[in-house]
Amino acid sequence: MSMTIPAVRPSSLPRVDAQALGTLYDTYAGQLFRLAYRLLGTREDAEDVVHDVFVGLPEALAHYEERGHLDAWLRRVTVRVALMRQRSRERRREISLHSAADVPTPAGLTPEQIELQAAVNALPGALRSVLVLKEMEGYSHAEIATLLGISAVTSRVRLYRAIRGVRQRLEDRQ
Amino acid sequence: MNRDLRTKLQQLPVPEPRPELRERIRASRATGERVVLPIDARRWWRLTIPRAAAAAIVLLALTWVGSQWFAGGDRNAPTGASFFAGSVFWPTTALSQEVEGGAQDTVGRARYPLLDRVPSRDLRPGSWSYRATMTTDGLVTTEQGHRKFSIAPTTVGGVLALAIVTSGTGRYSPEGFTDSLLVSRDSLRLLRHSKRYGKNPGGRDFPATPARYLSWRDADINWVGSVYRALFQLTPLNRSWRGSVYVPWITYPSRVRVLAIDLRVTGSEHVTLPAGSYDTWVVSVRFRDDEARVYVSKTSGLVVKIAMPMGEDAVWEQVLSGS
Repeated sequence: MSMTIPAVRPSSLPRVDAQALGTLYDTYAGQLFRLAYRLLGTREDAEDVVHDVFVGLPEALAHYEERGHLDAWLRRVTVRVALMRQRSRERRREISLHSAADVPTPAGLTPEQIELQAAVNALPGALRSVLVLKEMEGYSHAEIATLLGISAVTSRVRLYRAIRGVRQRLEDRQ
Repeated sequence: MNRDLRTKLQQLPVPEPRPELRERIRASRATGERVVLPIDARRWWRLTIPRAAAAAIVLLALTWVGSQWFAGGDRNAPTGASFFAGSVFWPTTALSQEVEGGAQDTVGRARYPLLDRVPSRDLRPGSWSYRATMTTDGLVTTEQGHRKFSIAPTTVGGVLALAIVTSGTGRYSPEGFTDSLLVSRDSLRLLRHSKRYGKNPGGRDFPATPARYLSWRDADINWVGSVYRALFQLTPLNRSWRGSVYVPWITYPSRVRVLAIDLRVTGSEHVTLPAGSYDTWVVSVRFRDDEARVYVSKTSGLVVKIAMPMGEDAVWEQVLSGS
């Protein structure tokens, strides 16, 4: 698929033409979508995040200085965009028709996975972010602290509370 | 974390993005839509570190100039403070806390008039219970154990004394701790201080006529313990009240640093707690970079609530639950 990008980019910035953007999309969109989905819990929100990342990518790459670590850089940017969306969503209280725990989950889940997904979805955003980043995405507490603008100690506290919240909900449903 | 739970979390299925997402992105770009992404801001450090270094150099230079300008600092000041003695940043008058007979037992810097005397010596015997909680993000509250504070008459070596005891449990001391001050009933001079964490006893005796003894305010300040609860029973507060005390900060194995605690009434508030409702003075307590709010009953001088921020989004609270 070809894309036409208006020639508004200063000549000093690296060129990311349509083909290059398409290649980046094919390479990274899947994993970035999965990351955003785990953080936000809905397909629509995750797709919006991936959309914003790739629409802004050609200009943002002008500031990319970590040669050889594009994967990690893209993931950090995606986390930040997802967290911004999460905060915005919480401010607008978008989830007013369902409780956060009742958002649709992917098909093909086992009953146990449905319970676990619901328990994760039920967590407050601040706790869920740390749980996803630490336990599902493998970030360190120091990295999470930088991403979320909190201290590493706070990250540990939030992880503890998130795990306890998940376990509590699973026990309540048994 | 339980490895089994982590594995289950990682194995939760995630859907794939819909095929039309790629076309949506292309269309957005084609129509000129742009998104400014929150990229790394590491360049900030390149500017900030040199600026911070320059500011530190300027601050040191000003300090040195100030110390020359206000020459005549306390020559007996302990090592470490002498460099700054008399400087505009460390006034000579704040270097010492006169406890008895002109002896200095402390160094540091206090913001307010030193509370080196208390107007009353009438500590009220009794026993009070407190409940501690931690609230994170204003959402999640967890129990942090209990505290018991008591004042009881006793004798030490034939001397009439008061035992001021804070004991309790918590997540970080599941076996319990006890912090005890034994003070002379007549002068409130500290006779003995002992701490016990779990099975580890600790304590120190203070000689009757020391050249430099520690004040009775040597207490468990980390947990905002005996010092405030006793102090406010002895010191009537009002809207403009403020004062500083010095406390020894004992670090392992035997190093003692003496630091200031600055206290100031910031307002009044009516609070309702498990033990009842109280009209209180709200006292800001600053220690190093930390600040706590202590709520003191206007009628009894009893500390009924303590609130202390823990990091950016958590608050540790201790409230009176019974007496």
